[in-house]
Amino acid sequence: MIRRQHPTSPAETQAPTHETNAMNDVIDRSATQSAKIVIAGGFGVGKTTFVGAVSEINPLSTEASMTAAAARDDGGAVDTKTSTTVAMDFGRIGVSDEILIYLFGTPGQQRFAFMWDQVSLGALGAIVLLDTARLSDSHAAIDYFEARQIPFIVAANSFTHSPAATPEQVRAALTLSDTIPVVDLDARERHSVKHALITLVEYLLVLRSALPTPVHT
Amino acid sequence: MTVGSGGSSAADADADGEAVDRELVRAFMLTRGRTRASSPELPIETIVSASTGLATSNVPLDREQRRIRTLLAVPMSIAEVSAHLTIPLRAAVVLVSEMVAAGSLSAGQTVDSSDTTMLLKIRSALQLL
Repeated sequence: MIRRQHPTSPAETQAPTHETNAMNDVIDRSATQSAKIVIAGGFGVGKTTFVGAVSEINPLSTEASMTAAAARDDGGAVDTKTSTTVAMDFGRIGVSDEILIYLFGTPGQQRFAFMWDQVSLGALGAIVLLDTARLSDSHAAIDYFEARQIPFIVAANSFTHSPAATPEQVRAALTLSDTIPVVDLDARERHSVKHALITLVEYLLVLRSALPTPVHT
Repeated sequence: MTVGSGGSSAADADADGEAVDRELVRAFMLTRGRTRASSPELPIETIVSASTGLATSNVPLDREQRRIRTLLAVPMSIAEVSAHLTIPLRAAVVLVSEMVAAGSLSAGQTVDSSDTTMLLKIRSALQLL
C-alpha cells in the first residue's frame, strides 16, 4: 500500500497531467548519487507540507516505528490521536540528471529519538521547523543535532494563530548561536521552501569555508 | 503480512510495549530474525536497482527478496522500497543492504557532506528549481 499525501494546492506541486503517467516518478538510470536532508519538528508544524511543496513525487510514507500517538500534520490544528504506527513522510528532488535529494520529515519529540539515528546517518544537514506559539517543541531536535554536530538551520513556519516573531527573537528565545541561520517560512509556498533549502546548503558551504560568512539581517 | 502496517486501529494501541513488540515481530519475520545486516548497512537514501548485468547470486531469494528485486527493475531509494512494499524501514535497510552485498542488487553513492563541489552543484540546482 502506498499512502500518498494530497498536496495543499495543485499550484504548489508539479503533478503529472495524468495520474496514470508514472513516467514522471521514474528515476533516470544515470541517477546514482543521492543525498538526504532531514526536516525535523513537532506535530502539526508543517513537515509534510514542506516536503510536498518541492517534492517531484507525491510524498511517500514509511513506517519507521510504532508509537501510541500520531497527528495530522497539515499545518492546521494539532490533532493527537492514538495509533500503532508513526509515519515518516518523505519526498524527492532531482537536482540534476545524476543527483537526487531526499527530504525526510521526522517527528521531533524525544520519544522518537530512537529513529533519528537511522534518518540522520549521513545527512547533509537538517531544517528544524517550528511554530512560534510552541517554541519548546523544537528543543529536542535542536539538542539532538547539536550533540551530534549535524549542521542545521531553523525555519519559523507562518501560522495565523501564532505570535509574530522576528528571526532574532526566535534566535534569542532558543539561545541559538549567532552562526545558525534562522529564516521565516511559509511551508505551503514552493519559493519559500526553496529559500530554506538554499539557506541550509549555503550554511553548509560556509561551514566548509567554501562561501564567505553572511551578515544576518 | 499486514501485521503492524497502516491498517492498525486505535484499539490495537492499548500499550506502547505491545505495539513495539508487534513491530519487532514483523521486522524479525521479514529478516529471518536479524535486526542488523551481516554486511555494512546502507543509508536510507541510497539508490538501489536490480543488477541486470551481474550474475545472479547462487543463493536463492526468498519471497520478500524477490518482491524487492522485481520492484527494483526501476531504480529507487531504500526508503521508497520501504514505502512501496510496506516493509518497515529498519527491515528494508537490513534486507536491501544484504542483497547489495550478495550482488543481487546494485547501489549508488551517497553524497559526502564534505564534498563542496557537490554542495555548490546542489545549490545551483536548487536556485533553478
